[in-house]
Amino acid sequence: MIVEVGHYALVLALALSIMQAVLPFWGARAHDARMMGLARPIALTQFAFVALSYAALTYAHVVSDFSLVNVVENSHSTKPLIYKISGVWGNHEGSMMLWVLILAMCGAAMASFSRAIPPRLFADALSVQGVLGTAFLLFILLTSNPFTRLIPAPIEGQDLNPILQDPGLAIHPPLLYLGYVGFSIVFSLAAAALIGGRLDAAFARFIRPWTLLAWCFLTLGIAMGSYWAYYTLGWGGFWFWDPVENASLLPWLAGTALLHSAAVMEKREALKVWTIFLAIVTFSLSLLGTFLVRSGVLTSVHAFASDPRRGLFILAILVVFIGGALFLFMLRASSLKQGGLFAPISREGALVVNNLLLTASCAAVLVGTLYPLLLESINGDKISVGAPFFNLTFGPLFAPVLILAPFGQLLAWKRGDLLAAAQRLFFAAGCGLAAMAVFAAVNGAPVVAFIGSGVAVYLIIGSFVEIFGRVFPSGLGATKNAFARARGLPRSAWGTAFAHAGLGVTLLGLAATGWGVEKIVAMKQGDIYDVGPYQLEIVALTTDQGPNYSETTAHMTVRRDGQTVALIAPSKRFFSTRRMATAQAGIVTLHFGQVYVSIAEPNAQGLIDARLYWKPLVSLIWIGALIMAFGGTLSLSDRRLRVGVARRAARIPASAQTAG
Amino acid sequence: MIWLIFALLTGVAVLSILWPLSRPAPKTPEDAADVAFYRAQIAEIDAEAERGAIGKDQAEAAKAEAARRLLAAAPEETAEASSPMTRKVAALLALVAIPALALGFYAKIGHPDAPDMPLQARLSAPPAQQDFAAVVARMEAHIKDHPDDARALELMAPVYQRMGRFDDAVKAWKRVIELEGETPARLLQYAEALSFASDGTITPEAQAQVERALALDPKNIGARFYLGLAAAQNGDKDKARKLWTELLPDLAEKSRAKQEVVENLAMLDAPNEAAPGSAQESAPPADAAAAVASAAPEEQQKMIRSMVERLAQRLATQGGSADEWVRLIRAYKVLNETDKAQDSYDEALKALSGDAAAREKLAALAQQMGLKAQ
Repeated sequence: MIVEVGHYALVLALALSIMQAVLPFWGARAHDARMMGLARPIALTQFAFVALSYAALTYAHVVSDFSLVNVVENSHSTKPLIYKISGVWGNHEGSMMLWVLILAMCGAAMASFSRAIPPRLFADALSVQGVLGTAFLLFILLTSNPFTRLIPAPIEGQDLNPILQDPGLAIHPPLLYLGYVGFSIVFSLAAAALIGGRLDAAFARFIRPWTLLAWCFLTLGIAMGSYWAYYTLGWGGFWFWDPVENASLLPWLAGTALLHSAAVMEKREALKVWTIFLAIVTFSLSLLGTFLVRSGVLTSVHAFASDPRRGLFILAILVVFIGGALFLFMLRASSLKQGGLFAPISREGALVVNNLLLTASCAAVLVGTLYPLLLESINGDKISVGAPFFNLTFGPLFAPVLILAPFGQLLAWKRGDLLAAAQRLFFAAGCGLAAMAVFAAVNGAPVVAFIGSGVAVYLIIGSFVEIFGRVFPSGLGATKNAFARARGLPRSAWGTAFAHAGLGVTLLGLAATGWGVEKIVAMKQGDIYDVGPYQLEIVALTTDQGPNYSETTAHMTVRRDGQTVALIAPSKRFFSTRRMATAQAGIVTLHFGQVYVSIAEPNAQGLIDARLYWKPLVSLIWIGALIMAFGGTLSLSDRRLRVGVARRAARIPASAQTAG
Repeated sequence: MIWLIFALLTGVAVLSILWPLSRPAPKTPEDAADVAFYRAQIAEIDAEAERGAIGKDQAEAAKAEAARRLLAAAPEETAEASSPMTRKVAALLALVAIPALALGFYAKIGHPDAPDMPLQARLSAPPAQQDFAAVVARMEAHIKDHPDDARALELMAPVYQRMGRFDDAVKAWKRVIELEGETPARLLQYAEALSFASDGTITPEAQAQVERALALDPKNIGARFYLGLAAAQNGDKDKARKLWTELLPDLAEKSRAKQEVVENLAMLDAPNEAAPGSAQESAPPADAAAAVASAAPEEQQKMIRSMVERLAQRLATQGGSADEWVRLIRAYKVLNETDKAQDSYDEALKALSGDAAAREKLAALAQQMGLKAQ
């Protein structure tokens, strides 16, 4: 009964979504405050129904109700409880449920926390949210219904793909989806602003918290996904320029650009049209990511044809929303009032450069992701666009972003002084060069590694130069009241500094991979191998029985200069239901670097094929992402209005430009 | 009960629209939010100036800019009170559309009478109420704990066979025979399981079981049939013919078994016809004969039909050799479906129109079966 109640609740949620799409919109046209106000209760009730439905599905997974096809195909009675719960979103139908749950949650959040939004904008935005909900609920109910029953019910399920039976799965998709779907609010607000035909600083103010929130989640989601790939796939890679990963990177790049242009819009009312455009593009890329991952188009364009209903449905959603929003944009953009003026060398100008570089690198990734798919669907050629392409295109486009980030913080609004900014960065640049020299001397080649780490050091220090300047206005000598001044600084300024520094930390981790050591060996008990500064030895081999797998574990010691510094236990698990094996890498973090070992089954002679890695500073890649998200959260917690105070220009510069 | 909950949920959904509509309208003007925003912005500038974060003239400039924007935020067209008619239509829409949509859609895709089936509840239900899968699971659990319970094994072995788990059936029969000794019936079932496990081929191991069964009971009909089948599969048509012909007098007149053997004999004699089950690819007879012989009568009929259907489908979509068409036509004739036999015959003629030898063969068959030649 619970299952069917959940099923019915989902259908009711669809009916409510349709109401949410129609009634407030109609109310806004008819100037009826009560009908516009309907957006709020409908969004909340709809969320309640989707949540009820999701809970029912989770219940079915937890009690192993094998009368549901979805449970049979993705669960097993012996699976540990946590994977029964996380397994709900570890499959196509369930992950779409999670998508819709978060979408409804975003709608409900907007309904609850956005009292200050003008009522028409609010009604239109929740209407757009309702249209989104309708589309995705229809998609679930018509093509991917998790409540499809199977009677008579089998007694056992087919288990979840073992790779997904990992704590990483429990965390990664929800974070990622919160990021993806969080941008839907920004999209809805942008569409509503275009429908209503008004766009001002207030609008930028409303989208700021949602953009920041979505961006933080997306940052964490991508980092988590990358760390998960790193420790489960067993060859120590953490980013493969795989289309699925690119699908999450694309909205991140566009979202980062949006974050910056929205700041300009809020403070200076400039870049309005561009901000709206980015809001549309960011969510469109989230939808594209969903399409790529969920339609099966990635495994092969032919897999897309094998389930055409699903793929075509998502494609139709994609076309309607992206096409519709861009059409609206085309109709309305020219009528939007242009915003504030600024000189090319100014905070605004720097943010424009940032936006150009970010969108260009986003475009490069997009081309690299879609080109192979297009080519395959046109003439059937399978090509793979891998790291070399992205290193050559994305790299050069993104490198200036890293160099210029500290400049942007130091330039004043409206009219900046580039020379002064550069002078203030001398110290950071000096540190960067010194670091480069030290790294080159100590660790040596490859060149990319020490140049990259130098830039990273410059970026980390440069990120705090502006804060430093404001806390110690007259140099380090005047420490009086420094603490008070630091506290008085807007938290968004601290947020910016931390987010930029986080980028630098990630870059440092990435650059240091160049010094990594990799060995592929056939080991036996007692053999000692040098990996970087450490010696690894297998001291014991054990075989254990897990709840739904059997496991061979190699217990190894990690020694340095004769001292045991850590024990690691890489293992190989065999899942009998799916007849699949997974590798559990043995990892230990030492001074931000990691010793990483992944093993294969022992062969007849007792030899174990093992991959041994020493990855200096590798953990900084993810620590950097955490710092970025921390910066975002700091900025999010800053609820004060932003005022971009322009420096008074003695005269209107001849080069003053209008940006829009 | 479940309909009560559905009604309750639907009520909540409808009320979430009707109730707010019936409340008095908010009094705030539509541009209140904008005014509030710019007021707050100006206040913020003042606060910044007081803290000394920005200079006095800077603050003045910023305030002027904010004020300009406030003026520019065009007041929206004043909200004329809309007619209550609109709201009534909206309320009616919610009242009708939500239940209609939800119930209509759910009626199409839902299973309101399907209960929840948590695994634990299914396994611990009293035996009489247990579903088949749960019983199997319990039996398996029992066998796992008591690997020497021959009775349980003997009960489960045919179940495994039915479920298509032939390897498990083989293991079960082997163990039963080890524990309880050989009987012709057990040996034959074991042989059957063995041959099913290797796609219907009577393997040497299976044949050994059949021969032991025959040693225990020289007249055993099943054993003699299988020996014939094994011979046929090995291409020894004469031996097969001899065994099966000797079998005929021992079979009841008009029984299915007799018909089956006659049919098999006919296939042996068919010109250029592959021996029953000799080739994997074109060989429904291989597992067919074994399966048919072992199945219950009503099952037999079903199995034969499904095999014939498969063959017919394959021939219709992919075409086939003259022999395969002959087999199909003959099968229809045996099943007493003369119409279908005739249709297949016509189709075969069409499909093989370019092949003179094939047409000749078909014509001979038509005559033999009493079909209308074209």
